[in-house]
Amino acid sequence: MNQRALIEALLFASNKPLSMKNLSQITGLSKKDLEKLIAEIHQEYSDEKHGVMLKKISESYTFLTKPEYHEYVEKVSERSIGDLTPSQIEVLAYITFKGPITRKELYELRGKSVDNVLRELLNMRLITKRKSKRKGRPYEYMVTNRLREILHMASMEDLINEIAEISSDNS
Amino acid sequence: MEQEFVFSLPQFEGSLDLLLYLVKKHEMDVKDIKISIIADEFLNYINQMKRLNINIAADFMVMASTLMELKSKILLPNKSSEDIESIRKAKQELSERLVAYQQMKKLANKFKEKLDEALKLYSVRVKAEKTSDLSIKPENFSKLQELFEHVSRIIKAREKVYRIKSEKYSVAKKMEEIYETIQRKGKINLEDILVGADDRVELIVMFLAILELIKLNKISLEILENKYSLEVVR
Repeated sequence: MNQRALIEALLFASNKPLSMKNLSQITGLSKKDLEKLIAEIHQEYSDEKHGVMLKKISESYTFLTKPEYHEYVEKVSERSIGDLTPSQIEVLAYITFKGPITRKELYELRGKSVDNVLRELLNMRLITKRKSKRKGRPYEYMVTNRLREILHMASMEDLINEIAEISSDNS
Repeated sequence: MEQEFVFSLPQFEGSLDLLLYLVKKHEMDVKDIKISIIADEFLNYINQMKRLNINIAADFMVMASTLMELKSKILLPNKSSEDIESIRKAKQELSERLVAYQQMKKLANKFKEKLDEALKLYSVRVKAEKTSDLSIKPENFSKLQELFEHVSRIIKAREKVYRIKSEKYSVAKKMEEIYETIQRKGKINLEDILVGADDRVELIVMFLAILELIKLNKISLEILENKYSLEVVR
């Protein structure tokens, strides 16, 4: 049995990204072997003759279509999110970086009402709300796992970490 | 001849946006805002909006009054040290909000870039399922017939016990019901669905509904070792 082909089969067949641990449990291969195999697969698919690529998304691996073909892929595949307005993107950014965050805090950051945008984002299931434990128990808003998965595809976590560092430096 | 005036009033997303614009326009340091100039211009802008009948959001009015209050305090002669301190604090607060706003704006731009990037990627998945023959072959057909007879017998036995209400069944309605059931339960045994029929007529209608759903590629029938299971096609 070709071990590299096995890993490739698993990554293609799984409906979610697979971690080293997942792969090692299924195949019984060591982490070191897996790393080598994954590097080989990665190398092979980075060749321009392939339309898909292997991507590491926060410690897990998955195949994605290459971005340069997105206009065409869009025609056969459902987009994960529809078009967003500038206001929606702005508020989504604040919630991603500062969430969980209350409506009042969002208003202060933005200097503008956020009510409509929040409702739209909730309807699109990009954010969710929960009662906070703070005084007055206001709602806190945060991004959903669905959005987080999408953002992880573009390594958004790097940006989030970067920002976490900046804001902790300030305080 | 009357002269035509063309107004072009830049649009601002909010009071902080306008404030930041004014500060930049006068090449001021965000940390040292010249309140009196900014307050006048801010008010000026609001007046222009009024003249053009643009709805003015509440936050513009709040900001305008904050700025005017601060300006009047600054203009007062013979300030006590407390007054000076409170002016300093108010100015600092304003600066901090502006700095935070500027930072968030930058972040929002970066976020947008990343999001655009992410939306160009589609996850790839080979639909790795045990392939079953979806076309109903003659040999499978006889098996389906067996199943039909089998379920009919169960229903017949039940008929002796229950009174059957006369009811009209429609294939379209059944299709909807069955589709919803399968959607809710995931994979489901064909027999389990059919046994739900109250009488032979309903059983036939259900059968037709299921065949129709398969034909429309809404659900798939999997036949594995005499087990028939239905699943929603994704």
